[in-house]
Amino acid sequence: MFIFQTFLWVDALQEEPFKVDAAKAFKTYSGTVYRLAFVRTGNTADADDILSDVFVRLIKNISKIKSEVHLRSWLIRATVNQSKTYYKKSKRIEKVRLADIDGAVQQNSEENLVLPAVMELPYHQKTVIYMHYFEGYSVEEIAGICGIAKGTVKSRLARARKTLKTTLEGVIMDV
Amino acid sequence: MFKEKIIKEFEAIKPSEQTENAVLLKMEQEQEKQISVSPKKPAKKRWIAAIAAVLALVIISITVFNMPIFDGSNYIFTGSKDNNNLETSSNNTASTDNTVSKEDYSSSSGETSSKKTEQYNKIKFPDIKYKNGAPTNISYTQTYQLFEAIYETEQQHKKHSSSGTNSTLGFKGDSNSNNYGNPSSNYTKTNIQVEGVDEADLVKTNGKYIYTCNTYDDILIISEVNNGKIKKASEIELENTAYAYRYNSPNLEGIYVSGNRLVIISEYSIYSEKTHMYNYNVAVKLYDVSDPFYPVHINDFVQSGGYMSSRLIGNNLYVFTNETLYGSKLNVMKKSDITQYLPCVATGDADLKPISEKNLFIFDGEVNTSYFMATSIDINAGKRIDSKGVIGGGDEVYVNSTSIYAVSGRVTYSNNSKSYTPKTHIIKLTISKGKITPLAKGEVKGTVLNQFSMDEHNGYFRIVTTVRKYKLATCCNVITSSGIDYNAVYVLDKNLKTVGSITGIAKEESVYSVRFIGNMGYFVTYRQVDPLFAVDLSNPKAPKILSALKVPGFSDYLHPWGEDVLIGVGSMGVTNTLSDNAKISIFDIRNPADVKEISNVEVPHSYPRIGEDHKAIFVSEEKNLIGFAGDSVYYLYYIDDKYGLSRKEAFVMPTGETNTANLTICTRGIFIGDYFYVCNLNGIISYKYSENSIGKKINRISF
Repeated sequence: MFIFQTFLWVDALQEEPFKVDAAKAFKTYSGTVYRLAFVRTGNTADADDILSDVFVRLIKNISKIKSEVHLRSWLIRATVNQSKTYYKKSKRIEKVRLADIDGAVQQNSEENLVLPAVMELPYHQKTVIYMHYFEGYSVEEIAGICGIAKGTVKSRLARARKTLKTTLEGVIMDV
Repeated sequence: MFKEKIIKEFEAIKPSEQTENAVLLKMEQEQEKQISVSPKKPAKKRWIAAIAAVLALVIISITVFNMPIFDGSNYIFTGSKDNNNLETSSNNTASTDNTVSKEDYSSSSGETSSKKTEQYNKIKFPDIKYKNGAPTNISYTQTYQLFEAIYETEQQHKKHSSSGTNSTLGFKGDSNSNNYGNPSSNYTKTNIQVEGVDEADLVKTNGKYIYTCNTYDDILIISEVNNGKIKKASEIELENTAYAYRYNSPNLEGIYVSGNRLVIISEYSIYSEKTHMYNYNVAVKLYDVSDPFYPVHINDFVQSGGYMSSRLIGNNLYVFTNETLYGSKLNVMKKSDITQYLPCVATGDADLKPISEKNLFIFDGEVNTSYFMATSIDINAGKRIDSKGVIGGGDEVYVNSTSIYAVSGRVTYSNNSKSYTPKTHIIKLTISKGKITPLAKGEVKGTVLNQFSMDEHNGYFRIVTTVRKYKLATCCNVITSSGIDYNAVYVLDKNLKTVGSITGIAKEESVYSVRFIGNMGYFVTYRQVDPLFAVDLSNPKAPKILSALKVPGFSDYLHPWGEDVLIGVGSMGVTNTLSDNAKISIFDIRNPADVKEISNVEVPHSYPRIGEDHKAIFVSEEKNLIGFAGDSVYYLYYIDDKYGLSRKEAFVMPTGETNTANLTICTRGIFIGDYFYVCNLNGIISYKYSENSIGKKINRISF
């Protein structure tokens, strides 16, 4: 409605515009971006590249970010996009994978049980498992951020859990 | 425990300090670069806002005195004075429309829903005069009411049911669509599903120029090619195009090139503060490339929704988008937020406006808070011809020269068995010279794989689905798969009534590839072994499976070759991970009751799922070649007289800094005369091809 739109404009003029502190954003979210990139690509070299790409892109688009919530969504969306059809295929992955995971892991005395299994999943499923269980996003939030239907998120989660249940049989019971 | 383990194990994944420092340095450098570049935002926005503020004050004082000109409802809902009547239930002749008696909300065994009816009684559904299987117009008000009523019902259902989950879900089928391959012409065209119906792709050529998309940086590059020589002609960077300031992070989706017209399809998102979510819109950018060194922008055609697909038939471009409204939006949305829940269009710089109510339709039994939109644009005249919106429909399309079939996943919930059965809604729209007309709706069980799961032949619509039942987990609000998966073939008539079917095929497996050829349909299901089914569809009322050939591995893509043979591109299926290699198979289909695999080859250093994108596959019956990109080379395999496969070429692919992008599936191989061009976002390398010797590199251009 014309009237309401006008009011919104006026409101916007009076409010102080949100400014992103780039260094702070990196400190807060580099972990999230890196982990999501690692989940989707399966190796640290690509995760490094994507981390760099996403934050450089952030600088380019910094004026478009409207709030802290927007910043977080934007970063995740950018990471998902940059690694969109990213896959790295080569025989070396099978041999290197475990070593790569250990390399990626900075400090973890216990054995990685779940991580290798999750990394084996198709990348769509890996993404939703990571975002749902680690980052704590709801199905709706994941759907909104990734631009997919809610049902798609649910079915990907379901399929992933079914696979993990088999892979982790005897190791983890409550998948 | 699973959750704790995930958190603990993932927490330990961090970038190294070295990486962090490197990134921070790059960020600083970019920041300095940004400071030296002047801001793009037009300054005129500020004084427009100021004028608007003054006008606002004027308007406030006028509305206080209640002048009818500024009556909100008349402004939005032009023409119809009867809108208000829809909101009162007493005027409805069918009072049941106000209660939740639609099948999706009650148990399938017919348990009396009177108790439920009481609980849901207060939710007002709009009084829409549905026609069985045929489209009905729906007004803006009715659309708003319907979406809100569905949402309200879901919310109430959540409260009342013990498991607390939604009873409605819409989801896509698994994805990640008659002359096939290359009709004899001087240059390679996109590998499309239906002859005469072009599909958008990342690389296009007209024999003189090659157009390549860089979807990483959203840039289109035009290169002039001549007997292997390549020269960059021009480039179009989406972020620097007309009206770019309104586009938030545009994504280059694909292009068309036809005559002197270039069509760029881009999707962009706008963040909504209100809902904390992104709204997606598609901008079709039309250019005149009479001189590809200087492309001239003609106009932008914008429509709301996320990009689903598109087709070019003659001069008419059809663009399909869809939009789903989630709870967070429905919760805060007002009736006046018309651009949030109605399909909208705009041309050039104008604001998005909802399409006319006479172009908005709904079919009976629709319970999804989403819409599907199809628009048509005459790319020669530079005008939009038609826009149609259908409530609910559309995740995948099959299009031929006369019809559009839009399918979407639906789920029906059974209270008794507490299980969900996925179904596919099919909406048929006819097309004629750019005019789009919704015609009929049909429904089958299961979900489709992709556009190739569907086909129209002699007026009959054939569709292959995978049926997978879902059950509710006992905790955690998650749906898990259980019950028997199986596959099915359905045949529907021109009004989308099912006339024939085969169900229960290949239990516990899902469809990996489908191809319809005339009266036959071929599809592959997979779990460990790959049956290739041959189905006889000559009698629409009684489809028959003629044979099921089992071979190891599976095919993601099936391509007819001549009359006798079907080519399959898929995976060896050894480890079922990305470590596997791609596989090319040749099936003898002369006797459909006895289909045989006559040859196959494992392609080394290749991507096992390359067949998932049919446009990535190059086929030339004229040259007896099939090809696609591997990890670092583009392969061409030769098919001899006895249908034996042998590797002919392994052309080096353009690589570069953006290796990190999806290089393999974005790379295309194009013949122009005797020269072969391997193209991707990194550049183009040309080779002189010869039947009797190895191809020779001629030229290379890096972008």
